[in-house]
Amino acid sequence: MIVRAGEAQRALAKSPLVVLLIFIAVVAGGETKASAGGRWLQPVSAREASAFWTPTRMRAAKPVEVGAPGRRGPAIVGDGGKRSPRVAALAGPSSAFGLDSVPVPDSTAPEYRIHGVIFLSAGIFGYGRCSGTAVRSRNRSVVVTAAHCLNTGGPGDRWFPGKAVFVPGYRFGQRPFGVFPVRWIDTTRQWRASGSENFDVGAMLVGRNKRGQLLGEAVGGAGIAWNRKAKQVFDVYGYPAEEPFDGETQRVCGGRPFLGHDPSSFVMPGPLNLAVSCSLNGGSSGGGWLIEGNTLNSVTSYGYFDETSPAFGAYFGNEVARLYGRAERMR
Amino acid sequence: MRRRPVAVAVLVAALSAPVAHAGAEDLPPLPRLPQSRMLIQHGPPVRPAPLFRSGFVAKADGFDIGVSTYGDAVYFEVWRKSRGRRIATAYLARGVARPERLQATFGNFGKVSMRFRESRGRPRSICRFGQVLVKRRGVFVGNLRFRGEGGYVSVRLHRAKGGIVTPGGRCRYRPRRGVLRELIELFFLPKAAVLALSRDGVDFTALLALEGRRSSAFLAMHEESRGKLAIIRLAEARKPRRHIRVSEALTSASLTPPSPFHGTGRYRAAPDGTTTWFGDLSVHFPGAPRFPLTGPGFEPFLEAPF
Repeated sequence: MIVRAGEAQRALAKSPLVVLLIFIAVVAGGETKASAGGRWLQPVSAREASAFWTPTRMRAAKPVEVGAPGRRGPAIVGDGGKRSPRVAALAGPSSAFGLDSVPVPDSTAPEYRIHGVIFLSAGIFGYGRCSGTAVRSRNRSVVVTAAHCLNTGGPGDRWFPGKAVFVPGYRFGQRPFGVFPVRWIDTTRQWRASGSENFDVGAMLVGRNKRGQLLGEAVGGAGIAWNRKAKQVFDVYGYPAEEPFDGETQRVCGGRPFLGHDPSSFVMPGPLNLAVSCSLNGGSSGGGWLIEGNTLNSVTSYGYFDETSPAFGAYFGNEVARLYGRAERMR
Repeated sequence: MRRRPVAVAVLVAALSAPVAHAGAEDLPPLPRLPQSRMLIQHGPPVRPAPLFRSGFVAKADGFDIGVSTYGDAVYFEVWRKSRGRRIATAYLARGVARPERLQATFGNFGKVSMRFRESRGRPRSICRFGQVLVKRRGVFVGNLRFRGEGGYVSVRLHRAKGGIVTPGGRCRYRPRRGVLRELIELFFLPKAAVLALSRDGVDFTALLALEGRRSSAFLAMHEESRGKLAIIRLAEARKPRRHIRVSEALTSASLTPPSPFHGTGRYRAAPDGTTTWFGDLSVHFPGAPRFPLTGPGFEPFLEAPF
């Protein structure tokens, strides 16, 4: 989500050197070859991925956010800039923020282990993280997340560098089902063409874990539905990692009815997006929105600066159906 | 300063108002409202690719009205402006937003279905904000029926002069000196700034007040989403007089903006850091008179330089 992500991005954007280094890191990242749709990442075995993604590194990962529009680029969000000393009584997050979500009782339980954290390495810029959801598919290896976790979007789009893994059921640095190295990533084509948040949906193909299990064998997967009416009741899952959260537990906003569309989504290409009342923040991007208990029907895309902002997610329409089709055909 | 980029961005949107016309007298003003709104929230503007803009303006019930395309939406705007102030309400709906075709339904308010017929003559090129705009003139024919909230504006049209504007190359942009000076004063040397935000679901209200050395600027905005219709309201005022009073300790402030605002908004900061925003401050939006801009739902911010 974009919530309170602005300062680190602005600070980064101010330094031409940092921008140059980010560009080099992104261009020289772990990308290997492009396919007709999506991008194959440098092959990494589960063993190598497990060795790399230690609990310390996983805890050090910062949320991946949408960059400043116009020069969009996933940015790893840090602690934000310094505050001017002469600001009147500007309180931090209120104690009420985040109370509308609860930690799941056991992230390894069948209904919760399909959700997990996507960890990414951005070279010298540290580690990034998003949330994702395993979905049922023919290859039993598809994870759906937000497009902005994988690609910058818009003209001149760039893929996020490699060493990405999906850790289902993650909690407190533990990997109860192992790590699943990401092999291939893709987003809706319109996200890459326009950067419109109405198309902020991405998919990944993951490899086997260290035990040789496919993702579907290890944790199962949610169903996925598209072209449903917007007026649904959603369970919103995610791993928020900014204050007051720490990203170590899976949280859920249960039974959230559709609130409406973001007025900004009217002017951007794509189907009008969805809003639900749920105060999660950075790190929950890509977290699954389930309907009817076990069917994925949106993913967390963004929120606004203010604490009372709803969470917004893209509507799952034909473009998401095509993305899912491409992902489940990959081997 | 944590919120400063927010304030600055809104200010730019507010000050661009008098010069925001596309330079084509029979086209609506550049649709700024969604942009202003996004400026408030994201920082830099998010705009659809400016492939074309198509539309027309007319007058009804003392208001100017404009129908145009804005990205994938059809944009119906009602506005009134006078020296230093402007009020506007825009209704956005998805429909057909192509250069030669405008078609959308604005819920219970009405609908538009019009086609463009190009006039003879060569397209004109004009320079606005460093961008060459190529304009084809013509007439929109079809049906426009619209009745605003409580009937504050009522329009029935079958024909209106309009145009289609497409961007060309770059050209030289020289801002007016007065505007530039005012921008610098308010932008870089504000004596005080008050920002109050309120959100209820997808509905969002913002008030920004800025005081420079010689003038003050006020901007209020409210947006809401009603099914397949988005409504965005804006009011702005600039006056040469001081309208914001801030205590030296930054624990209290009050502002009494000029018309179209009414009443006074008061800011208080308690020793424990909690803030309150209260008073009888309201604003007159087209279709929403006396819209309250204070109350417990608002989160206020106050800033003043040394």
